[in-house]
Amino acid sequence: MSSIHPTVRLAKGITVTGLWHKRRYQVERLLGEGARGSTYLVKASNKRLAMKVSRDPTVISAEANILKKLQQAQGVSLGPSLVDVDDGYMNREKHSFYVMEYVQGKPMTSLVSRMQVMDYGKLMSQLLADLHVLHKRGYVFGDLKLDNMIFDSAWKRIRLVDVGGVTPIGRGIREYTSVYDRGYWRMGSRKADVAYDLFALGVCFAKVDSSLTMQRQGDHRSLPRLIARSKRLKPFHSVIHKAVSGQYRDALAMKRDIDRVVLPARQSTSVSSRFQSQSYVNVDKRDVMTLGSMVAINAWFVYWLM
Amino acid sequence: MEKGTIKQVLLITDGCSNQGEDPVDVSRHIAKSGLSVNVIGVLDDDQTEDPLGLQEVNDIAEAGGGISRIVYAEDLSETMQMVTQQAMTQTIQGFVHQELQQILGDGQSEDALPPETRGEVQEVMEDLSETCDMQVLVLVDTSASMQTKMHAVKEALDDLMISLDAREGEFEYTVYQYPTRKDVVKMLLDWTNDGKRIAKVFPKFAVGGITPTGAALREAAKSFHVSNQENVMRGAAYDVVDSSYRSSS
Repeated sequence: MSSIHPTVRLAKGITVTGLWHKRRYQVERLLGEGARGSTYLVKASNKRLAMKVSRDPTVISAEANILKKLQQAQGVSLGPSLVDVDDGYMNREKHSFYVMEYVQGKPMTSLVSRMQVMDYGKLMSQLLADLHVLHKRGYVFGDLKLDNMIFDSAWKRIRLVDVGGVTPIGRGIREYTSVYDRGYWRMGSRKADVAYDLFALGVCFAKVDSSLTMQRQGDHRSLPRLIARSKRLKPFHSVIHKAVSGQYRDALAMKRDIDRVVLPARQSTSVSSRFQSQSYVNVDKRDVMTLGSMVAINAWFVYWLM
Repeated sequence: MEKGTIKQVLLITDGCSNQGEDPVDVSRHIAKSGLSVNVIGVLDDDQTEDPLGLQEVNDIAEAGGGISRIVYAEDLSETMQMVTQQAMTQTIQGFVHQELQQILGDGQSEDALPPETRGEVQEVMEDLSETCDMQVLVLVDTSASMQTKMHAVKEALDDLMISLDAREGEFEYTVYQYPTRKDVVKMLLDWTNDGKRIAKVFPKFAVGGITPTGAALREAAKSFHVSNQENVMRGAAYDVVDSSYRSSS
């Protein structure tokens, strides 16, 4: 079971029909492949969607669960929205899959080297407002890295994809990437807290300077010292330093510091306060409802299984 | 249900055992007492990714109901974390699967459940893997050829402790090395939940000698029995050994 390779190869043009919900998806092309499965661009009644397939059905269940929870924060796009979860026959084998919104845009990994550092700062500021909403809901993103950020050119903002690392606050981070991981740099635990995400975001910042070798080896064992060397990052040295040394209480505190660097003072306050009021109202009521039902389901299941 | 404890052996080696009992048989035997044997094979930089000599690594893990990976020293950190995590998930999945079979009837698997229900099962499994207690016995091969890899092993174990520490459930670990001049195995660190103590263990690793993997595995695994007895008989004599285990060997 452990040695199975998660990849399911799907040829262009084939149709996958859901066994439970009977919806049909036509495969257009591969979007990405990872250690947990593959994502394909698919078409369903002329709409373009993204379909994640894995040989390991628990990957599909787990990620679909997370997407469902993120969905409950309407108005803020924390991750792609979930469309369908089902099983289907592909190449005569049954596999689980889920279908989500297709987030169109370029991955940040390909943009970051060409980007002005101030523009990058503005994007990070926006992302922090989104992250704050996620944190208020009791989750951290976990595997926060450039590879999981898509620059949505239509909206001029960053969207987070691949939610495999999303973890309830207080638990062990479910999935991480060494270079972005606080534990790897020996700068704190791997327990999910707000500062964990902000640490990773600090590393994302450092990634703007491609001359930095982000590896913990030899003389490069101290992340803050490594970052301090970068001339390109100079305007953000203090922000990054505070982020990786866990000095920010929440995402908004980090956002405010970035805004001070990238925006004229008046504009900055108006943007952040608009974000806050909008998101809080939506979140609270829903939280109570869904948490209540989740606890009930869980309690029942544990009782039943044990 | 009483919160269960997941017991794992994590064997780190770089090659074939060359003395004594067959480690595959030993692994199969000790797995019967409710633990899984996971094995990481460490490659030399000039070795290909699938050397014949390391087939034993996979065989030991398979016999012991565990997981194996063969990697270069530089990938050890990620691998150790993944193997431990996956082995735990596998144990929990196996358990939940069994329970579900009783409910759904023989021959039925989770596939028979609609995706929504499966999502709920998944949630339960995640809760269990976060909250269950864990005991990990680390057994490090310190034969001569491991010399160059010990630094990477140290880093990786240190990193593993960060992950185990982050979980909600309790965890305990102990560290053994093999071989030593006098004995088959030597305990370097008794059961503890203090992740930081792993760093202090490493200067004690003396490298050299033959590779009696089977015998070492058997001896080290007794550590689980001793610690269980201790839990039952709090304050009793320290050197309690499970006699049934001895006689069956």
